[in-house]
Amino acid sequence: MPGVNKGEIDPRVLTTIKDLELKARILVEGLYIGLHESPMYGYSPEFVDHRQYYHGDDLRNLDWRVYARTDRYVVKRYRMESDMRVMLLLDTSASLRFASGNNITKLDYGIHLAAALAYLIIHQSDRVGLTIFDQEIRTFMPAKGGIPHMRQMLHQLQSVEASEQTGLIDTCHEIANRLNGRGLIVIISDMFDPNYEQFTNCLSHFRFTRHDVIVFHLLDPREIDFNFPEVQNFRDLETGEEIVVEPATFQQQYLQRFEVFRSSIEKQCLDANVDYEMVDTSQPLEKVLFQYLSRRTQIGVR
Amino acid sequence: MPFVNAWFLGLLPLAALPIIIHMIHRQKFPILDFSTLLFFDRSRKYNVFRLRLRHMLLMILRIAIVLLVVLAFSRFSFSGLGFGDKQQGVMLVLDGSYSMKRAFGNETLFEFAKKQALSGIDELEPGAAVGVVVNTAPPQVLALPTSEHEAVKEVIESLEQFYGRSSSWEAVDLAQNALEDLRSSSREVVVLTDLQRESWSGQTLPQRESLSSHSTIPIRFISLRPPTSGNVAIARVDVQQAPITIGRAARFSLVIRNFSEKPVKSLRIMAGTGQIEKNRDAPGESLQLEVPSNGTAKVNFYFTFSIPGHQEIWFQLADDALAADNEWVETVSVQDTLPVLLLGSKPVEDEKAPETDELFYLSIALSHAGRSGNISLVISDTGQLAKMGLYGYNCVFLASVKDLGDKEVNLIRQYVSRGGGLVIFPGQGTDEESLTRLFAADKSGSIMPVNVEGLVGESSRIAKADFHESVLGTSISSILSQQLKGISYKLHYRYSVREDSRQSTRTLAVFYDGTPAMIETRYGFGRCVLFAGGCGLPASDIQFRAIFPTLMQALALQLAQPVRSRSNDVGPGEYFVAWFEEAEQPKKLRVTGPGDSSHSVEFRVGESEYSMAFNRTDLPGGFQVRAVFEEDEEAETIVEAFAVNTGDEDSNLRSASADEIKKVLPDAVVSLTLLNTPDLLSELLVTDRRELMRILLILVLGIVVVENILSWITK
Repeated sequence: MPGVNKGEIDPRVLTTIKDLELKARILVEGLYIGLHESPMYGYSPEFVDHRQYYHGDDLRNLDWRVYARTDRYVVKRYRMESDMRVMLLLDTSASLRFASGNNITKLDYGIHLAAALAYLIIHQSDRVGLTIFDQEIRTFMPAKGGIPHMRQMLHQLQSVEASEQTGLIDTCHEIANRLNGRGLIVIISDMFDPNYEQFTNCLSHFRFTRHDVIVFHLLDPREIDFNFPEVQNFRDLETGEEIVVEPATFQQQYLQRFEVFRSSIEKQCLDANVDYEMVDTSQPLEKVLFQYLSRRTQIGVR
Repeated sequence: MPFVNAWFLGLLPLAALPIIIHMIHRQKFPILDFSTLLFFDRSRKYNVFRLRLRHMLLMILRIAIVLLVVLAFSRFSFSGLGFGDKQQGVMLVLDGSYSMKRAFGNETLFEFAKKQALSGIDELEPGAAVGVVVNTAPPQVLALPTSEHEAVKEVIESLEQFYGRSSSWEAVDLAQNALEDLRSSSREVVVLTDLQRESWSGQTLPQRESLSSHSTIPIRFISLRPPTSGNVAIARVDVQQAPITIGRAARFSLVIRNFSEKPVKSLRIMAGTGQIEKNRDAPGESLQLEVPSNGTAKVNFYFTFSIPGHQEIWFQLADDALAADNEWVETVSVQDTLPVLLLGSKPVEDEKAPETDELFYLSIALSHAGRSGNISLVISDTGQLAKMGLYGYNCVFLASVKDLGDKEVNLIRQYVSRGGGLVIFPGQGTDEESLTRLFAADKSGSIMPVNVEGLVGESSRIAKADFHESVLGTSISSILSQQLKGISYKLHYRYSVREDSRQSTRTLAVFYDGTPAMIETRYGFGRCVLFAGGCGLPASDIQFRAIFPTLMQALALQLAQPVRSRSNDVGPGEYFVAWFEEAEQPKKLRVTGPGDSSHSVEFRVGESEYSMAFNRTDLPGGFQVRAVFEEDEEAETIVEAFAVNTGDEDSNLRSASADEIKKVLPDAVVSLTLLNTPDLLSELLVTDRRELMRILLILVLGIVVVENILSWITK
């Protein structure tokens, strides 16, 4: 496969492969090659720490060895043994159609990312669900396990088209309301919601419902550096509004404003103890995944 | 604001190109579908303000570039600027006519004009082009506009006063033509002249269209006006028509014109023979005359010559404002006798009969005249014509017309066309065929443009005779001419003048039936007189009339003088041309003139003509053509003489006014400066008009640099 041996696959190569499952497999296998020394094998239940014994606690959890050494009653705490439920939230608003130069669109990048994660999760025997939204939720697939479910999900992803404006905040609240029990929420979006400053409320909502959240902030390199050579008539993909701008004179102002936006999102994530990963769509996808998962492993699973 | 290349202004619409290009490009920003305009400033339009400002500035700069380039190449200029380049072109027109010989201070007008021109050239800036035209007839371009000022000054310094008239507007036209090709912002024709009204007021303005065509070139007249006004001139001298022979008084009619508003009383006129330079103080004749204001007076002088050959006669008026037109020299050829040839033939059958034919009566008449008129008569037979030639005779009488072949007819034609006189009596023995052949027309016309309609055997009488306008003129009085009335012809030819004849033909006498009895015509430089019949018995009784000898003598004398005199017809600067016979080819030729000047002349040998031409006739006075022949190489013979005179064409000293000048060319830019005292004008040719081409181009270069810097900065 092109790029597999090097552990990095050019996003443009991915677009030439029509079968999304195959793409996901290529990505994840490449990821395994990169992670083969890693001690992390998913989210299986395991010992976490001790706490003081209180009346009513299950005696099976009492750590007798600690009692023998310290004469104190402490109970061992374990992560829940049930399999993990992961909900992938894929933003398909019109702004994700943007792609500069030879880069792939942010939507394609998001689809590949979502497919790779779904493949990875299913093959860890966990359950994964998919929510596709723009201004409202277009597709909602509850978290399930099994290959058939994954294929159904990949089928949905293949048929996704970007349209409408972003309703990220409302969608997040609605998903937080819909999901029961603890789980992992993976948000894949460019976050270009006019109300992005209220994103912190969404994150709080997710945390309140005991969901762990990961935010993949998809950005095209030109959105990051605003490096356009000449005067352009910029047309908003979501609203159709047009503004003639000379990038050379406007670039500095744009970069300031963009940085305010991006750092605001990042800060809101950090404040809410949420993983924030800014994704440059010109970067190979498995590299992005690898870097993120490596970092997450080093930090430790929350 | 004049433009040297005004047609360049037609490119001014190109200034709209930057506007059009900007308008087109304004609508052509590429559309980029961008993910969000969340970070764009919508309210202030700040994003395009600078862009539009830049575009506006670039557009203005580019329009300025086009405008400045167009202005620069249109050679835009105006006066009053302290900067810019002087691109000056001046043509000086110096009036060289003889009226400029008037005194102006201690020098003549012409000398002052030269000095003023030299002073003006000295003040010109290096690089300014200056040229010179001298206003003579015809005018001459002495120097085309050039920046070599010293060379032009040399030309002016070497310029001599001309004795001819001027061709004023033609000179200005030449000057303007010379400036026409000079691509200069400041072009001007400066005319230094006495501004005579007759020359400049433009009554008969030649080449007016040409003058009007470059009316954009200004003309500045510097009118030199000395405080003199009245002037009297010798207009012309009319010498008697008849040849001058020794011992007989020759008449010289002097025509004098007064160009002032006041009559001239007691005008002293002196006259004499010989070279005027040497004999001014010893006039042979002197008289006083009154000439009316703005009028003409005529006075006759009579000179009797005792030596044959070419003689000079001079006339001089008392000094006045202009001396150049106060002298007149006339050269005449004085002959000891007037050779006349009488051609005829006595009828063979009547050899022993009494002398009753034309030859007899004519020889008596002309011999009788010869006793007082110095006529030297030679009688010969018509058959000898081809052998003897005609060039030794001033006049030929053809007593009968017979045995004239083509050769003889051609000989007679050539003789008359070159100034010979011919009198034809179709007397006894005349054959009609010879008569018709003689009167036949060739390309030059006919020796006598009449058709011979046959011999009339009936008696006819002359009804009327009038010599008033004929060659005989006043030599036959009207009373005398009446004696011809009633003369009877028993045998004569009937003629009819050809209607298509354009020659000068005049019927001097007619019969009662209206047919011509005596006809005069011109052929070339000569004249012919034809009688209806002979002058012998029994054809006519004219030979018995008292008028007959007088008439024959008058014909011999008057026809002997060629129609056009060669000696009195040369103006200053004109050619004098003389023809020679084959037999008299000189080995050397030279022309001597006033001031003992001497010039070698080339003798020209053509196909059938021998001639000389002389054009060094700048000074007025008498000239003599001297030849050396092979027979005697040491002796020099005077073969021709002529005189050069100024005439009175430039003698009217009244000046034209500015309005009169402007009327001539209403569209032209004409200015006039009067100069009454001989003080040189300073800054005569200096102009303050400056051209901005170089400055504008530097400005364009600067704007291009600014535009590039602006483009680079705002990129």
